[in-house]
Amino acid sequence: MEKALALDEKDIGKLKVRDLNKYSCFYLGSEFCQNIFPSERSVERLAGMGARKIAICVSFLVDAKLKEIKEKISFMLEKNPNVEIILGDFGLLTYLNKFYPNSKKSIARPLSIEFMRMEKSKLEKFLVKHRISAIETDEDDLLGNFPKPRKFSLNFHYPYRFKALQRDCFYLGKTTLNCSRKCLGKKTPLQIPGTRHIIYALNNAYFTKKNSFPMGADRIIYHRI
Amino acid sequence: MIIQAGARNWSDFFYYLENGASEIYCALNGIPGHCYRGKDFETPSEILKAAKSAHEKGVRLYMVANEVQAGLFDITVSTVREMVKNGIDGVIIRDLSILEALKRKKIKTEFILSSLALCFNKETLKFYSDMGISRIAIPEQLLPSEARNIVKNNLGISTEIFLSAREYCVVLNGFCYLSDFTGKCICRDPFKSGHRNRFLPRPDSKEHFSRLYDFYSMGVNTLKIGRHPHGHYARLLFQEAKAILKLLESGIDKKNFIEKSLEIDSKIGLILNKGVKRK
Repeated sequence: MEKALALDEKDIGKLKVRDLNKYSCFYLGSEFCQNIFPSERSVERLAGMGARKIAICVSFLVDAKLKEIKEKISFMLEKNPNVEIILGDFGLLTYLNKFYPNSKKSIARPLSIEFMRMEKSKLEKFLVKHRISAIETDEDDLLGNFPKPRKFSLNFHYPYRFKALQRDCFYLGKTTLNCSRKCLGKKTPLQIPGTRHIIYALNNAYFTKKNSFPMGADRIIYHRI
Repeated sequence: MIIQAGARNWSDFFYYLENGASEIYCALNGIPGHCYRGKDFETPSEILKAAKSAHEKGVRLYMVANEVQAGLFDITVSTVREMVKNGIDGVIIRDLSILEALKRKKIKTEFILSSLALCFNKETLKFYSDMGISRIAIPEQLLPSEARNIVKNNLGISTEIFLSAREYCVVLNGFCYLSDFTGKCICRDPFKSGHRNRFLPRPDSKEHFSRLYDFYSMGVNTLKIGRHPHGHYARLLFQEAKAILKLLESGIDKKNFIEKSLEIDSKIGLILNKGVKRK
């Protein structure tokens, strides 16, 4: 099972040699917020430090952001064709399949929620047809629906399990196309009314925290925040 | 702009039919349709009977099947096929595998992409258009300025918008698991954070009506009222939608529209609150 680390751009400089040895893949960007997309410089820096694989996460996008991110991703893929794209947008999928058909693509959360509920053979047909090689998930209870051998990889995110997603930013209180990304590195615990359960506000989304992870995934992505 | 209303049962259905809905949609028990409380129509023949009654009045009738799971795939596809063959006008759908299966079986009907789908740009709209959709319910959280290319698409896809002042999910509706904790919807409740209470951010009613005005001006075709477990609430929503639509059609300017809509919304709110107090 492969090990990956999800990190914010600003933390790239804090990576140690032992991190680069321990984790074979590094995730940048966000599956949940279109404003958190890494710079080309960050990708170059990570590659220069010796990261074996780099995965760029992209959430669902409005038109203006899709236009912007297509340009940035094209630039990244031209320089680093092996960068994986973890995508949450079918418009971006169409673009990549047209212009970068050999790019390695995975379906991001929460888009993957629909895929995790598909019947295995239908899912495999869809993924092969659309040149998608992996699915990102945090739903350990559903991994058993896709026993090996399978025609795709299942990448499991740990320890945060997705519960809800907003477009209005928890920190800004509104929807915006650009921001200063003050949320990076922050998580805010919120107690569920009338219970002792805690969810965490991270980017635009809300998560619970798990203490264990399942067998059956091809890659585990650790989120250090 | 026309009104499409969601009916849970015969009582809802006849109310909307007799009071001016141009379209009605409903769900069938056993085919998941993303409305968790209350009951829907029990049998396919009930929906087909509803379709016949609707057509006699020039009203269109749709079925919703927008939350399918692997175990219900085959029954959903076969049910949709039978319903289309026997007279419903279309299906509200979200799942890609269902869309693909229906396309493969050459089932020709109006496929409406549910607002639960993550369709936030024109290229994703094209993706779904290639899979056979002919209409989209615009996601509630998409701003008018962001939706322009979707509304004014050149794919022949018509658009719907919810009356979000009354029906707005604070979080993305199709991806919410917050009710897992208490069995109830909690997104509008205060969460404790340290010593403070914090609310998940959401637009106010003024903002909702501002958005509705912009969507109307842009040319969105349909104003949508969702299905609701409480018939009384659903009827009031429908009346509110009719009043708001009348305002829009009067050619009123935006500032006055927002003001008058807030008045209507407030009156409806008072009636709803009286109903709650009586209980």
